[in-house]
Amino acid sequence: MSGLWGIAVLVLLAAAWLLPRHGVAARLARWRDVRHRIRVEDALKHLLAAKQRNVAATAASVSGAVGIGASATTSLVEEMEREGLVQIRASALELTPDGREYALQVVRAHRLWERYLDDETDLPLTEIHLAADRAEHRLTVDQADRLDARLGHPHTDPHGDPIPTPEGRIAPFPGIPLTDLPEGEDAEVTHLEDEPPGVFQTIVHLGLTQGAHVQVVERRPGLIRLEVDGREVSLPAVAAANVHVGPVRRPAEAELGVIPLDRLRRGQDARVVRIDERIRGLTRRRLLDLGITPGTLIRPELEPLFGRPRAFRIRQTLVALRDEQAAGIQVRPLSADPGPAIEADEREAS
Amino acid sequence: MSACETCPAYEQLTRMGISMGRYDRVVALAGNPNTGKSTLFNALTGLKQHTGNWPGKTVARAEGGFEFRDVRFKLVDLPGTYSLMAASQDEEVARDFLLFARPDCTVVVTDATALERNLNLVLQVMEVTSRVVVCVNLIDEAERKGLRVDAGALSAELGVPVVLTSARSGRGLRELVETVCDVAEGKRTTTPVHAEPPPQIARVLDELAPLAALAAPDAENARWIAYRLLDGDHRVRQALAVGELAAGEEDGRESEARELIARADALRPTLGADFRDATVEALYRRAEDAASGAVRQRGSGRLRDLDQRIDRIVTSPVLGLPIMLGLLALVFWITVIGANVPSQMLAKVLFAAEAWGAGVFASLGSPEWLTGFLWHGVFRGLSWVVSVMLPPMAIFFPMFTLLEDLGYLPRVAFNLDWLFRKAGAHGKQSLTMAMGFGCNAAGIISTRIIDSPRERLIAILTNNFVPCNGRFPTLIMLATVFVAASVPAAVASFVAAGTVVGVVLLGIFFTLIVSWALSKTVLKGQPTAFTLELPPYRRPGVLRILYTSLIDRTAFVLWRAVVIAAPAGGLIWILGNVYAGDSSLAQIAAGWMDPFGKALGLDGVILLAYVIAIPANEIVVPTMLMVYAGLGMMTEPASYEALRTTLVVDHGWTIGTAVCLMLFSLLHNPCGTTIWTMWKETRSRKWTTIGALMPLGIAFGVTFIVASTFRAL
Repeated sequence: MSGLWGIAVLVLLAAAWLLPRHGVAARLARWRDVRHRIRVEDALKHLLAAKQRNVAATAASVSGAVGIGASATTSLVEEMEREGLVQIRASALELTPDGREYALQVVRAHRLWERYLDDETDLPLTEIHLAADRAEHRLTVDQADRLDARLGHPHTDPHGDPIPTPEGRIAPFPGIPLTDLPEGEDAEVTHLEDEPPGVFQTIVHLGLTQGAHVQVVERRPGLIRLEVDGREVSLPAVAAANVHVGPVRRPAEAELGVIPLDRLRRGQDARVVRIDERIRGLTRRRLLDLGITPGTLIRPELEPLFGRPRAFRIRQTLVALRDEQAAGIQVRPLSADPGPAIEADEREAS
Repeated sequence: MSACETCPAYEQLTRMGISMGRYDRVVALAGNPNTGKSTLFNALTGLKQHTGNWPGKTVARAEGGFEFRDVRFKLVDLPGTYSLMAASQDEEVARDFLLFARPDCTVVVTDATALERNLNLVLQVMEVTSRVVVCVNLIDEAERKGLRVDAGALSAELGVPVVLTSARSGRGLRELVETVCDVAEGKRTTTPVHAEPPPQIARVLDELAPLAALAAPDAENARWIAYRLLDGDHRVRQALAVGELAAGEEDGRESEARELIARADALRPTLGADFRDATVEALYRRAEDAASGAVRQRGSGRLRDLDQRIDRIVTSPVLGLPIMLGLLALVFWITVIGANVPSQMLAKVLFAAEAWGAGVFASLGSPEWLTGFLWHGVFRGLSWVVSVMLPPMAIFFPMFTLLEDLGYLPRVAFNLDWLFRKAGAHGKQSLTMAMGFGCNAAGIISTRIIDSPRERLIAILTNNFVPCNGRFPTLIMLATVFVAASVPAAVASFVAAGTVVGVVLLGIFFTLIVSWALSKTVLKGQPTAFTLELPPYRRPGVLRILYTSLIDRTAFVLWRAVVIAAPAGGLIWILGNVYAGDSSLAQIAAGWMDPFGKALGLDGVILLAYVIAIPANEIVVPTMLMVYAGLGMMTEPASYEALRTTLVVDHGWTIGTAVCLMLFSLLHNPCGTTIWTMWKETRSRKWTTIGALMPLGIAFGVTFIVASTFRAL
């Protein structure tokens, strides 16, 4: 009898292994295919980036970028050559036109996904790159097109990198590295390099975001002292190479009397000047839908139990806005004010 | 005239049911949320539908019909939306219907007290279709506030007919129907005005419009099609590419469509990133012009001040919290007290019916197993659920809807948002939780009021942690039999009540903790956007609410009883009456589960009862007692004393068992109806599975820890 049991168990195990789609063997094969594709795509991205920076790509650099050993890299590159994606020239690797097209698709998916995460979710900038690294391999071209449309055909990702068009055109790399910026010249951050992650975190934590105003105060060995949006920070030189800047697009006029909405006192009337650019996606659309357009009259009217969120009277409707939304709406208080605006430290205490 | 709310006395208006076989004209109902659109819909069609004062509460799609001057009109209620720019599913539904279904007339329902904001949508609708009638609703509220709306002036400004109505009282409805009929039948033409887009957009549209007219001959407004294409509207792009908007043409105008799309793609980069902003600004400028010419404020606006004064009280640090808790306690108290007698009466009637039915079957010579299965199993399951659930639901939900209609509930969300934000959720979750106290399935449906995807998912997945009406009897029984029994009689009922309150608070605590955990792990990086509108206070239509809510709830309970509880009752009877050897199946199953149950501080019978009660939590206790007593049908205890004897003396329950059971009852997986509702609302296997198994996992974990603690002591 136990012999029968043994045979039954063996049969079950064999089935579990050999089942066409769900069996272990089939799943393993699929996993290996996916892993290969991911490696190919990562390698293609690396080659494209190297080309853009005018740096030669070698098997060693590919191995580092994709994160595999030397022999695995060799077989990967040979496979890619067979697939017509790369050409091996002496010790350097070059993309074929097919390879370049494929690479641009992946880069497009990656940057669109980053844009989506930044616009619609509250995931911090430092995590968006990693999330996009995973997502880029899952997006089909059609899905990327739909995402592109839904996001309003954005031109750059949150780091300032240009998003390739569906036809495969990519705008040139914007700006010059911060290390090349002359002292005392006003500039605006156009691009932040997201690798390596540690350096990127340093950059972000110092307040360097896309569009931030910078001015080099002083250069010291290994260190650069900067003014970023009015604050003084010290940036390690190695990080400075990862920040690109360009000419300031909008002159930093001192906007007289313009304050963010969250600093308006209850009962104080004001007119909306604009919604900050950094508020995007669904949030921005909702604010627009509610009628928060330049010139609209707005007034804080009510605070709840815990003090937040505050409710504002806009076009005869009472709408509650959270702090980060109110902080992104610039308003100009009307005169005959019942007191000055709430100061920053007061705001935190209340 | 309040009788007219559900049956206005219009001699030529006949109402038909939802399923209309033939119709002559299609009329769409659009509008901002919270404009009384649903009330208007009900008034015109006689449908019983849930209406409330809360933004975004309309059902995704409702259809109805009415007849006027021998023309049969099909009325389609579109979701309440702020605009048609297709930022959300609701907006897509509305826009798609207007563009592709091409209704013969579109009624845009607006709020007379906030006309300017509402005209944004009106102008957008007028871009898609010219057969528009503007319905300025809630005119009675406006008059109470001293606002006067000049329909003629507004109509001149907009170029379309304008009708003032108060759907609640029936005022203006006849004129509205007449106007709709005229427009739909083509007897009245409209010349809708268009907002002027900024110059650089206008230039691009000028170039694209002729191409669009060729590519989409079916669309009324080629300029609008061109604009949507520039805005990245994927649906419009797709429709053009496959010829959906050129249905009459053989080739579907595909080459013209390709040319249009290519040109639009080429011109888009010249517009800059924020041209959408500029468009909305242009719309609002137009809306301001139109509104200022037609709306006059008379009087001091005293009622606005009254609104503000109520708001200050309701949100004040001192009074706000007591008012909220007080109202919640009041609702609970009325539900429990009010449901007691009706429940007992229902039980008596239904059990008498069961006995009678069984008797009839027996006298007809039916075999015992058949009688037992049908009457003591299936019918008993049904009657148990109806008698336990129907009275509380019929009391709780109407009261809740009253508060909603009044406009108070958004203030609760406003007050509590700070707390929920710390947990990564939305203030409106406090309201979906409150609904969950009545019924978890209803609570999940109510999460539609949360616009933001991530916060909505959190609310759905954690709704189970507030005990519903079906679980309260278990908690009350345990509290009374165990906790209260160990204290002097004088304070017994207070202690029992306090225990139940404690369990409820624990549920709220778990909701917040799990929400926080979800937002930091599984739901990290999901799209999120906060919106919360605080509508003005309005007089609730008390009778109308009581009537519609009562019908809704009764229907729901009866449906659930028949579809879910009755089969469960049948299954219980089988388990209790089919014997293998000299133990029933139920006893055998309980025996298997006993070791696991004991580890959790419970026992096999309790676990078995919970497995069987997945369809409906109300039948847990009767099933338990059935197995304990070795009977063949669900049983009710004769008294609390008898119950105590059975549980403690006969089956070794301790206070530890009672505590673990309370925790398990609070935390375990949602009931079958709730899981099914989760599926319908999320359409995702992943989230439904998480929603079903995560609470169970937590229940196992918590009871195990507590049981081990009791054992160690």
